[in-house]
Amino acid sequence: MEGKIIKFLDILPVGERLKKTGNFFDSIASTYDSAIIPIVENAGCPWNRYIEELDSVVEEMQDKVIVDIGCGTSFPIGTLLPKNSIYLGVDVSVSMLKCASQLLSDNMNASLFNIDASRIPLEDNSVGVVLAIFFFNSVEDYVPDVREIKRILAPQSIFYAVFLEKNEALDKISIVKPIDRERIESILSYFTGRKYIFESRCGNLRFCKVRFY
Amino acid sequence: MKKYISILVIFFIVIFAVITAYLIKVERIAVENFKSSNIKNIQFSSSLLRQKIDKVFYWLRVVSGYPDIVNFNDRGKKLLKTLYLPQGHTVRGISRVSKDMKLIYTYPDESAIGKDLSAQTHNQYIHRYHRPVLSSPFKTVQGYRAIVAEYPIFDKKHNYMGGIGLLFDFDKFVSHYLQNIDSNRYCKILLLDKRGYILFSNYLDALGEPLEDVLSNSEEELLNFIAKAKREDRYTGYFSVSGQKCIGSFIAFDVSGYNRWIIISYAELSDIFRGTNVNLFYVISISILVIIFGLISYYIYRMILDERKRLHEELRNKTQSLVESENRLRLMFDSLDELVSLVNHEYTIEYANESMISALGYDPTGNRCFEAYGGRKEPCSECTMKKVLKGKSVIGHEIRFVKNNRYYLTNNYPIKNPDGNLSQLSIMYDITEVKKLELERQQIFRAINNAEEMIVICDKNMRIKYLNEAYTQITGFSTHRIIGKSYRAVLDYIGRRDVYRAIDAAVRKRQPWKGEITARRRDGSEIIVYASFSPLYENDTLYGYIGLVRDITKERESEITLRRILEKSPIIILRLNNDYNVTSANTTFYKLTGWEEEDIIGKNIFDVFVRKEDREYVMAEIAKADGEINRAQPIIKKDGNFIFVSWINLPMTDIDGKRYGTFCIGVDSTREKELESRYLQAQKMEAVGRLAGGIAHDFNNLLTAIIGNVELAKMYLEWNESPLEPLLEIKAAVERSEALTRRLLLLSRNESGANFEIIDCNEIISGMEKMFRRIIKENIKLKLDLDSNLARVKGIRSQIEQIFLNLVINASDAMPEGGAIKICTQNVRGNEGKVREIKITVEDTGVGMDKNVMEHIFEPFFTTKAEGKGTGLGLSTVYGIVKSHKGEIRVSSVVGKGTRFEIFLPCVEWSEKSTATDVARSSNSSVEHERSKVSSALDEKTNRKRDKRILVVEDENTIRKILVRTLREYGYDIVEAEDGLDALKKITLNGKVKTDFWCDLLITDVIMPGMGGKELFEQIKKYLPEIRVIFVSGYDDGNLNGLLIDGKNIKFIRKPYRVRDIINSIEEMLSWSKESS
Repeated sequence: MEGKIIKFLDILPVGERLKKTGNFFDSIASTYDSAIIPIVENAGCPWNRYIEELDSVVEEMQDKVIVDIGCGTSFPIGTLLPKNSIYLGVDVSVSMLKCASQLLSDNMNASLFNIDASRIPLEDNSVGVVLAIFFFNSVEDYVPDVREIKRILAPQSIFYAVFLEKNEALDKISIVKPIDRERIESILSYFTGRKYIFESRCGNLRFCKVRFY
Repeated sequence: MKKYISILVIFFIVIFAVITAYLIKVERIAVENFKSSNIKNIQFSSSLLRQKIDKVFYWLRVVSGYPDIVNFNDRGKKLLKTLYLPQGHTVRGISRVSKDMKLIYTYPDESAIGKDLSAQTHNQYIHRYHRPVLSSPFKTVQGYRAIVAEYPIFDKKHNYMGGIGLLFDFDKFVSHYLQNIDSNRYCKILLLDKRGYILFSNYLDALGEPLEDVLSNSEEELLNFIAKAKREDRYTGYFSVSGQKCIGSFIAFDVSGYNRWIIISYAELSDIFRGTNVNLFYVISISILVIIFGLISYYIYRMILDERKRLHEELRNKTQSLVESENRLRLMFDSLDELVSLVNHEYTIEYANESMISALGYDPTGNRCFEAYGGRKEPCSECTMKKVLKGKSVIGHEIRFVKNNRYYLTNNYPIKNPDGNLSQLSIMYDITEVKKLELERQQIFRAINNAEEMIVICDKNMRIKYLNEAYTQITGFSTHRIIGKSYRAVLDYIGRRDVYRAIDAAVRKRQPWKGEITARRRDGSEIIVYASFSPLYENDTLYGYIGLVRDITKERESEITLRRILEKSPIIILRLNNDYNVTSANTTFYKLTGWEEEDIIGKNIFDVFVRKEDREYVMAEIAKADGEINRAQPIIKKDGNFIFVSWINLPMTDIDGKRYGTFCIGVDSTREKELESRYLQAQKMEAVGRLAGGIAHDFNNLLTAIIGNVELAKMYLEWNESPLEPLLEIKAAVERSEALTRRLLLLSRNESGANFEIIDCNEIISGMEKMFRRIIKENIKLKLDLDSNLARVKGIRSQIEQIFLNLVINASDAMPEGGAIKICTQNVRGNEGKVREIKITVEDTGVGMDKNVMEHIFEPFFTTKAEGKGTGLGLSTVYGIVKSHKGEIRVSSVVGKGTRFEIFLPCVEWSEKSTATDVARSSNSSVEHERSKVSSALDEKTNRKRDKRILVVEDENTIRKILVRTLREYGYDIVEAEDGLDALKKITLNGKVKTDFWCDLLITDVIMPGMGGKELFEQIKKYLPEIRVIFVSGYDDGNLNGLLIDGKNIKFIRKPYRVRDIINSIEEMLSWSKESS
């Protein structure tokens, strides 16, 4: 694991396409944690079930380098992290990262970076787990990000994503924008071929685990 | 003084009362505002507090259902961690309590895990009642006051499994919601529980103690006020605290069914009033200052009033004297006849006297002078104001009033005003009449001075007082030497002293003198002047003479020149009075006609030189006198012969426009008349020339027919058969030759003396058809559409033929690229149904004419043809002939489409026509009879050489018949055809040669309508490539254009030919054919 991480930069210039997204999450950073529980529950997924789903992948994070793209405040995954893994949180919002730094203040293996997920300064095949929790609900053009994820993921690694799927009953004005099924399938189609995909659903939440071999 | 003091006292009382009322009002409003805002603030804060507590309990209720929380395990711990964080900054911990009231798990401070909580009242409550509970504040180990919101947990069988609780920092929690109440910073806030214990206060340091223990006796009213909270949820009222009157409100509400909280907010009235920032000291101080200022102002005002009164009195006295003085002056100026005005330096009229007002019709005072006088919008350019404002007087300035259009001589004087400025005093004298006289005098003088005639004014002693500029212009001498001298000086200068005597004699008799004088100019040249001297009288007293001298040199010279020109010019000039009597005639007339002055002057023109038959026409033309050129008219010479004169007649009128005679200008056009006649003849000859080739062809055909028939007759005689048929053909050919010759002679002869006869136009057109075909080009088709019942007309045959000939030639020339000419005849019926006239239409598909050309086509010598190609007399001749036949001609044309001529000729009476028709019919029937006899004779013969087939194509019927018969006699199998197209029809069927058709030789005429011989040969060759041909033509072989006449396959025989020649040629060519086969 050591030596695979070539260089960490605190801040890489965020591209123009994501500045708008960054500004938006800066403005809601202080209320994000209290807002996320109702969002999950409104999506038809009880909070404990949601935590249960996340906990299932946390069990596989032992001794691995975890890159959480669009980590935000790292809540609630930050409270569940195993002590013996290296957690690298990546987000375009500085304010969200500040909240995350408070949550992870006593975690010596956690580092946070204000960078664009399409330009992660890691070598190819260097990461064990990539988390993308509601990440794809916030980006317009996901192709560069998916390519970057594929680039950094090592063999035997895991890509874990949580999507909020679009449903008529869902509140359309929300921090997490629901995306339609076709878009989710399109994102996942990038990972078909040399891996297994495990997927579970709870309400309108889709938990997808892609295991590379 | 007393008065001032009393005013001051009243003023002070009023101010005091106003301020007092104001303060009371302010206090009342402040209390009311506090009252309403205070209860709203409490209500708002309590609402937020309750919502938060409800939200917390709702969240705990949700979480209490999670299985991991119910059956508390490691995942339950993780879950609690995720639930703690989002609850905000006032949450200090989350805990899970077992059903036996022990702390199973707490986060983030895990040190208290396993602690027994049964001593806590709220735990006892939840353990007993299994209901959510909000604890009372209690002090934690860490030193802050906390409250716990705890929610009971049940398993699936609804067994009580303990509780889940959130621990809040109470002070932060409560103050966060209650701090908004004290927006005024002087409110006293209390939060009590249902027992009256102080949970929160912003002014008492006795948290957790009962309020009644903290308050003194003097605050008993507050306790009474709060006691209402046990009965009522809200209340607002007044009470006293430590002697200070207060107003306050409270709201009481239940929390978690276990507890009841009371929020109280009150304030002392003095604090409320203080809060309005109204300071009584400031109010009174300002009031006193206002009063002092008012007193000082009043004192100053009184002083100003007294001084003003004094000055007013003084001014009134002075004004009185000024008004009196002004009235005197005004009366003085108003009594003047002159116009008087006073204008200030801004051009404003300050005064105008009565005369001025009367002149303008209104009082101009206050108006601008340039507006009132001149009707202008800005000062006049000649304004004297600037000069006057410099202190100078302007005398004799002249101005005109627009209003009454009168002139005034103005004297302007500077007048110093009391303010030091200068104004202009104007005194104006009306000089309008003088001005008018002056203007008239100037106009007269200018007119005299600019007159073209020389004008001399002398005194009664004939000394020159005035001489105008015309004198210098006419004579070249300057006037300044002559003024003051005797009039004779003028004559001296012009070299005519000899006139002295005549003029002196007239002067002595005081009579005018007039006369024409030939004088000399300064440069020595001669002038002719007409002079007149007349005496001038005033009241019968002679005071001078006036002489008028007009230069008439040019008029005289023009008259002489014109007279000479007219005398010598070839133009005839006659003047007639209204009775057609000659009043004057020029030399040319006498010279051309041989008449002398005494023969015609005063004589009627119809008695002397106008023919009787022309009388009506001449009278009409003279009456019209329109200045147009009339047609040439014969004038009888003295010797009895004629000359032809074309006249232009102009009316002669007097000043009133009344006609008194006619001015006739004539040109001798006798020569043109002769030329026109010659041109007509020349045109006929031109047509004859064009006909020559065609006529030669016709004659050749006729001669061929005669020769052929002679030989046929000879053969018949040799065979002892009757030669009647060929002889009849010979006779017919000779008759046609005679007719052709006759027509030719008629065409080339001058027909001026020809007689009218009954004519069938169809017959003429049919007779000329062949001639037309020769005249027109090969690429032009001629089509005749003749009405078989066409009426006869009365006319000169040769002239009618000339009409058709000219029209057909023109049509042919109009179609250089080919086309068609159509000649139609038809009867035109009148209203009564009778045939009135016939219409002959000649139309072509040529280039057509535009409007300009059409307007001139009937004019003599007008032509659009190239130079040398046309005489320009063709259509004018046609026009003349049609008119002389009392007919009419119309033309219509479209450029690019063609031209149509329609000739209408009056028809003769039916009886005349029927006679002519009968004659024609009887003539035709005899020919047919003879022809039938010939055909019966021919039928008797049989052929001998049927094995050779010859195709004979000839459009001339006679020739073809002779040839066919002759060849048949010689034993050939003959197929005959009228022309090329007919031949093709006989050979082909549906574009292919007929299966049973064969032919060894083609004998064809070269020139035929529709399809010529050459083209026919080329067509037949496609079907029968071996065929040989003998071309026959009256023309030379030039029309064969490139065909190789080799004598074997192609041969040419010129008409007229002998039978022997053609038999030899046939046998020769057929023998070649045999050899080649």
